Amino acid sequence: MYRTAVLWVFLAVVAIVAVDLVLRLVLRRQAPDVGERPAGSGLFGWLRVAVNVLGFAALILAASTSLSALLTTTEGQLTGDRLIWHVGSAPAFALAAVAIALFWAHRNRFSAADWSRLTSPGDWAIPLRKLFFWIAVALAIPTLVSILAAMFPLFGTDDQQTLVEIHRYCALPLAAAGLLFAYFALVTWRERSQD
Amino acid sequence: MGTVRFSMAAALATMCLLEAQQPKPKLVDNKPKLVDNKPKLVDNKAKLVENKPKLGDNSAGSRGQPAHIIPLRDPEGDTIQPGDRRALPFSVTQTCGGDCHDVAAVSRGWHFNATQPGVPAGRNGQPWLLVDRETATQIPLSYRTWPGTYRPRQLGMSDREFAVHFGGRTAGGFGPEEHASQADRARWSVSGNLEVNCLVCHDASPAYDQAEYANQVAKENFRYAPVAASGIGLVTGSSKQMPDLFDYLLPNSVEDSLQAQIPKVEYGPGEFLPSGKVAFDIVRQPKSSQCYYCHTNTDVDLTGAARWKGHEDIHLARGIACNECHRHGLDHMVVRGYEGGATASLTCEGCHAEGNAMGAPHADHEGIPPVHFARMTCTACHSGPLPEPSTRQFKNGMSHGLGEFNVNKSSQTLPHLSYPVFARQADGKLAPNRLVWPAFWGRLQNGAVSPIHPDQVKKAIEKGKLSAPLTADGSWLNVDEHWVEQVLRALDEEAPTQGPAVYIAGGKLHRLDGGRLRSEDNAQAQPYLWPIAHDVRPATQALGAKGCQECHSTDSAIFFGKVAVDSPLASERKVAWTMSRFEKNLDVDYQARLAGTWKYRIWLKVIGLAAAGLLLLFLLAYVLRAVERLSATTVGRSR
Repeated sequence: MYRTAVLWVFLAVVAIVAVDLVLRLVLRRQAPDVGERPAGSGLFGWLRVAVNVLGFAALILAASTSLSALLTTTEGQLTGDRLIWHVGSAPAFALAAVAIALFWAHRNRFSAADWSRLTSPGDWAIPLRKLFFWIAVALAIPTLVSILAAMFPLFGTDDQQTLVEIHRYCALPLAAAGLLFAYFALVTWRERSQD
Repeated sequence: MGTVRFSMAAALATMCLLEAQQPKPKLVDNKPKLVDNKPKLVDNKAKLVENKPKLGDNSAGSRGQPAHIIPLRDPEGDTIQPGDRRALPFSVTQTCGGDCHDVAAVSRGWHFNATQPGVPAGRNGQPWLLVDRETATQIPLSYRTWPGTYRPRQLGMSDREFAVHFGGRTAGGFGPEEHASQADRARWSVSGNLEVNCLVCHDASPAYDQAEYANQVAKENFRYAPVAASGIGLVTGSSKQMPDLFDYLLPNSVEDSLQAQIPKVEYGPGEFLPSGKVAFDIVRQPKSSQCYYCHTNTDVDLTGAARWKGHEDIHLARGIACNECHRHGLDHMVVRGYEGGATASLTCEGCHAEGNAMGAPHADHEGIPPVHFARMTCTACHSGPLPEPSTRQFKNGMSHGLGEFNVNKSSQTLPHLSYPVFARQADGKLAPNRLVWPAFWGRLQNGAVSPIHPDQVKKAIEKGKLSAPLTADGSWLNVDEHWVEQVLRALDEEAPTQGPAVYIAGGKLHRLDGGRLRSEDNAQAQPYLWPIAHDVRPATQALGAKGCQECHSTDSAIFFGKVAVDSPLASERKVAWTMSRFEKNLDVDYQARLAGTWKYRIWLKVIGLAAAGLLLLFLLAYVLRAVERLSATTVGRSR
């Protein structure tokens, strides 16, 4: 069940990226309206980049350890060293998620222009970036809380299993949203830099 | 004079034996028969098996305790009367099995069927431990095919010898085996069979004394053991002292010097009711204290004055008797209660999982990741003592004869038993176990070690004048490698063609190599383990109740504890094994790494929850703002 869900979600991610790339090539569109320019540079700019990179790396590490267990073991259970790496990446991911939220939340607030961008060929990167950002933020909360709650003596065996399932089924779209956010953030950054 | 008397006695005994081939005359054939129309049960096996249930096996449904006011019957099936000139011991098989109970069916139950062919061995259980201090032997024996134990026959030990050694701590069920030697058959005839003894479990009378039963078994008074234990009759004499031709129906046929040793029973005059019957305090469900006759396990540090520090199984403390879980029907196939056993409803999970009966509290296991239940047994956290840096030592009713007369109460008395040892079970789960290190002499034949009976070793030791003084505490001899070398040489000289002599002890096989002692690993030298089921600790006292780091720490006893090695050789006792050695496929380095990360777990929780809270704030801040703008837009449009 979960394996199938993983497959479909990641096929969807690949499909969205592929469709965007193809349409972007076909339309050969001009640089999008990137909205507000990010303020600040120098140390602050580097910090922002570092946070983005750290968050992305933690997300990839957490996702890959989980998925590799799913792909390489019959039970699909995350155990052993994979679990250590998975859990080890969690604080980094949590801290980076907060920092990314700090750096990106204001820029990713929705505006009236987003609707027209979404319907304008090739300009959808910004509204989609915003959309996936907020989806990721929303999913990060139950993903973190569910698995942390399981670490406290509050829930019995059955509830623990439910919490783990909540963690897995929230983390899966979180990973997808995080990847798509990163992709559309890169697209908008690249096109802005080509201005 | 003595020789003449002995010859006469022998001739008389021979005549008696010849007579015995004929239908036996009744010893007191003019005694009045109280109930003379009762069926005689001379051939136990043939006649006890009946198709329809017997009187006592077919309850009308009353929950009341049926009165057991019954006539006593001797081994020949005759009713014993208070006025019998020479009383015979009552036979449990005849007395209980005459009209009321299918003793033949009972005798196939778990407590009695070890010697019977085709009985599934089930999970490893407690072995019988043959201890011989003079030869530094403690070897696990069992009729069941538990890996690591030896069948008595492998040592040349007959069922009879086994019964003499261990019968006092059993519920009976021993008789001449199919291929018993002539000598053994003669002795069985003298002692009688060690019948299934219903009373050991079902006689709730305060007069019942299993220690007396063991005492009588040691005297080879097998026929008399139940009556002596029941307290109904006083037994004197010893079948062990009787010659092979002794006939208990013609007891006076032995020579004069043995007359005082003739086994006799004298029934208490007050034991018989006016009807000539006897009232037994028989209970269907035995008291737990009766199970403890044999099934006591006690920590050596918690015996004697320190006993008050010991704990009781939570089930017993709550008033649940052993047989509430270890149930059985008429077949007496007692539920052993382990997971994967025949009766799943009477396992830990059977009672404590959600939706099950018996009012057992549901095991919530709050905060414990479910992976623990896939990899560990319930007993791992709930049974036996909490693991400590080194294993503890315990004594056992079956192994140490606890409660019997003249028992050496020293904490160091052999056999030496250790616990708890966490080991991987056949189903892959980690479970606590009890352990014994085998120590025995054997011969290496075709790559396998065949154990040698301690009596043979003793002969070689005596011949070589290698006897070492016994210690007062009942522990090992004070011997060293040189002594082992000498005994091995002596054994090789005894039987040079039967394969080289070896000695197994301390987890090693010792053998002579070029005249010098060499120690090496060997599968048969591995300790024998059997799972701990009791005493069960409640959730608040379970392993892990004080936190995950009871196990997940770099010095946790469950993975990194020491298992004390036991051996007569002091040099071997110095080196302990690590617990993880018993936990097959355990990645010790991983456990150490995992334990190392545990101190950061609190930070994981703090950072994770703080991050989740801040993300929620971000989300709410912008969602509320969006809601506010949406509302403002709506108001603006309406204006």
